[in-house]
Amino acid sequence: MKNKIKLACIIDDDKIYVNLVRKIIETKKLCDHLLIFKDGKEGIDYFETLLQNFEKEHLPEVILLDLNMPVMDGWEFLERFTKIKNKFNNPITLYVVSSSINSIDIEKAKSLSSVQNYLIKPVKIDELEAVFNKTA
Amino acid sequence: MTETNPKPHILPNEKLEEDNFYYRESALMTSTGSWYIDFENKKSYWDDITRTILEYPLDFVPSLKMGMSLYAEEHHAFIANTFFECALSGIPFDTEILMLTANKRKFWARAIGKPIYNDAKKIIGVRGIFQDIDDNIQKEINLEKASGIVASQNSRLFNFAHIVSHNLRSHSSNLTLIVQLINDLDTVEEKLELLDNITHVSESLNTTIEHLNEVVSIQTSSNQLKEQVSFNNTLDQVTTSINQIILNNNVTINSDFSRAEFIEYIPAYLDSIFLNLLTNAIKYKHKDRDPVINISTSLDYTNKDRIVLKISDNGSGIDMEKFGDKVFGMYKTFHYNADARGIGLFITKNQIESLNGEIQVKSDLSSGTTFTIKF
Repeated sequence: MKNKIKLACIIDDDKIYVNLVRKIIETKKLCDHLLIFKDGKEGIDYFETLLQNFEKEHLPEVILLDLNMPVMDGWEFLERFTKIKNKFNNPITLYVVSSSINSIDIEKAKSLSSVQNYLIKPVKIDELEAVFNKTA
Repeated sequence: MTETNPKPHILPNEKLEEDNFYYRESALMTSTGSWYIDFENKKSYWDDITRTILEYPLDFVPSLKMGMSLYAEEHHAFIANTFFECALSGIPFDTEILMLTANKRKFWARAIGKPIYNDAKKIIGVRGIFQDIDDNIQKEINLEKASGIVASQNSRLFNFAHIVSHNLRSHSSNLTLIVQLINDLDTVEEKLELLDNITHVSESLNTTIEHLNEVVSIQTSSNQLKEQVSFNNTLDQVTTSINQIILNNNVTINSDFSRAEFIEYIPAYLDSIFLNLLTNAIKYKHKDRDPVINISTSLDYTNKDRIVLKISDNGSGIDMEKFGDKVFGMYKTFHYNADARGIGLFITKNQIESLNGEIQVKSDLSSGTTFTIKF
């Protein structure tokens, strides 16, 4: 048995989607704890604060990031996250999970070094399982 | 010509009259008048058709002094240049130009002119024609306008299709997720728990469709009757309807509609534009100062027929570098307010554009936001 992921993070403004993914994660026991932020601003604030007061158990191993969000969208989050990512000295695997099927978005996201892969909504249960097992 | 003439018995005099008849007919039917400017005798000659096109009496005697008064002011420099090049350098012209009749009516004419030389190769006059082509040019202008309207409608439709597909996708993908989970879960109890999620999806799907309907109704109701609407009355109505918000937020509204008091517009649209922009300015007020909103009308300086409405506030402003291209997008919000819906400015822009207007925004994070609408 591989190590189970302890902490994962979802950054998405769609409450229903977040609830459903949470449900899948709980049912399949994909990780122990889940952090949820409703836009990029809340997300980046968390990581920037964590950098000041670092505690390893508060650092998620997986991030599922939406693109289209109010206040701060996924692109801006990625820009700021990329700047601080390496300072954590721990691997963080980030997946973009978006309903955009625009090939420009997909190519752009995949070209970023901090993005592991691009998942198109609706995500499939086995896709989610694969994400968590691969990272673990 | 004489050899093939089928009527050889015609006498020279009759022949001349007959030719004259045909020339006159073709000139009349094509609205083409002739003219000659004689530099040596300093005289100007017009035929009757020129007089008719230019709406002068048939006994009118033109003079050289009339010069520019035959042309619309905006084409004075152009015709002066064209004419002098012909008169001084011998360059003939064939051009389309806006002329002025005796009754000061503007019309489009084709003007052709060529220099006349004497035996010593000196230019002694300019001869030419004016042809009334106003109908054609007006048709061309209308066609261009129509094609512009079709193009803008098309691009709005395309945008809308994009929005529809994107907004519906997020709901359909949630439904798919629910179905997956239902199939995957083992117990009936767990499956039933998911029913709640279906309720949420159907609610938000309904809201999305309501919003989309709102946008569609703009496109279809833009053929509603326009009426003479007073800016002042519209502002009064809107401020009365949101009076409580205005009082609670200590809002000051200054208005000056003296440069344009009325507009031909769909009254419901003007109401909605005022309502959206005012509530927007109040919602996004600056945290350190009471909202002050200035509203004024003016006339566009390049096109006096167009009315311009300016609404500026001293609010918290929009970060234009970040959000510049998204301000009028659907479901885009730029502030941390919880009640931001991201639909108001999208609707406002659609209403304005469906009546061929434009809206622009300038904003500064320190001083506030100004919306400028050209109707």
